[in-house]
Amino acid sequence: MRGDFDVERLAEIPDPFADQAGAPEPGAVSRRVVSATRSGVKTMRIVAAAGAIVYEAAWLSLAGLRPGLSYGSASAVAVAFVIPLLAVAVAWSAGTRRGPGPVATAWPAWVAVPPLFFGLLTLAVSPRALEGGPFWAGALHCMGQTMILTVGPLALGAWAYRHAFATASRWRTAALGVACGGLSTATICLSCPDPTALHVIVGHGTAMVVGGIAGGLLGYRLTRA
Amino acid sequence: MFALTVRVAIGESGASEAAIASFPMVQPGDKAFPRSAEAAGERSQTVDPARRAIDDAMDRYARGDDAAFDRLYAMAAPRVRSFLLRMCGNLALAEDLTQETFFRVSRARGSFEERAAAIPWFISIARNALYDHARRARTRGDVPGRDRTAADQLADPDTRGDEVLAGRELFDVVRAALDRLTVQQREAFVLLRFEGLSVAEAAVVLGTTPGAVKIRAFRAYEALRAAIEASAEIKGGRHAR
Repeated sequence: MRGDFDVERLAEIPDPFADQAGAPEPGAVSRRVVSATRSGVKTMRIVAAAGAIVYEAAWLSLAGLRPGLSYGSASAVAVAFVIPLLAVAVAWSAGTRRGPGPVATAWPAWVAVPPLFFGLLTLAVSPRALEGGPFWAGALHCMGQTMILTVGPLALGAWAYRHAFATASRWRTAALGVACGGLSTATICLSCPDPTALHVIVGHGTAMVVGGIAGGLLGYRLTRA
Repeated sequence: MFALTVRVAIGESGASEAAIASFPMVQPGDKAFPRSAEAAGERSQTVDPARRAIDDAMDRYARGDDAAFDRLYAMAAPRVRSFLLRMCGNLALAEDLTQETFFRVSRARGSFEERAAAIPWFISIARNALYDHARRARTRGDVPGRDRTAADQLADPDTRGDEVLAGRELFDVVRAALDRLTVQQREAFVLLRFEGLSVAEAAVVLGTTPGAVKIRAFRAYEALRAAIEASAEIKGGRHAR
């Protein structure tokens, strides 16, 4: 291990490709595409973010707000809404930051931290008591709903960030997937009447994990430059 | 630690090379990345005028000035091709992948950020194109083999003097030793030794830390020096007899 290695010493090694590297200029580029400019890309990303919010709002208008939202539980809902949004902020900023930065070798952590952060905080602030109802039926129903809520923002994100990442495209897209899942997690808490910690973590939070996996395994093909 | 075994099978028209490398995506002992502008992929204050001109042309192209592309291509394509040539050892393939790289550059131009350094960005994209090519070649089941193209053809042993022959032998030794390096070590070595990137820029391209880049370059240097010394010893032994 020589982290203090003086890279100037690399010049001692001769260049076996020197004659070829000086070959005439490569022929003119044969394929060009009409592509979005920098301002066009910024506009696309704003449109995608707005589209994702409209998508969530449209679903909410169909599913309806949870009962009692305007009465005593408003502050509890606000907490449940803000926690996943914090996770969204962390994942989004990790996924879209320039260069590898301090996350260069910590991508798995940056993708895993938001769902963990959501899970632990939810466990800390949400009621734990179960009333003996059918846990899995409710959790699976909410899981299905959050998957539907995640698909729209994820598709919009893949469109807005297509060919955007020259390095670490897999991890960056996974982070975007986590952010999209977090958005759906925040949305569903405005509709789902079950505030218990386990239901929220399993039924609502799984979308973050699934979003991250979908982004990392499939989405990166679209976002890679 | 994640480990992905990558076979980089390079070459078309029957000319190909395989370098099999264990590809750890997370290096043990990697330390925090410095929070400098350069480390974030931004332009260094000390870049040479040629690189500054490339950065400016790319900026203009990203803003929508299509006419800047031809100038950008003329200035940057030789550098991209040089990187690809040193990675794959095949001039024809390097030319093809340079075209592919600039196709991708024009497709992604809107994502090129203001004040970012263009050459590391191009090389990152060229690296993606090279890896995609290697994956396709592996899927097709291309037979690995080593291309011995232009440099070998240039030299005619019958008409060259001993000095030239000795130089050529040295180049052959270095080429063979480069082939034996892992892809990681070779990339780090090529970027620092031949492409003139700083350690921080190479780290941006490779998606790792400057410390990891230095370690890879050091290992490559050691392997190459050992190969050169071994070759000199063999030659010395031959002369003694």
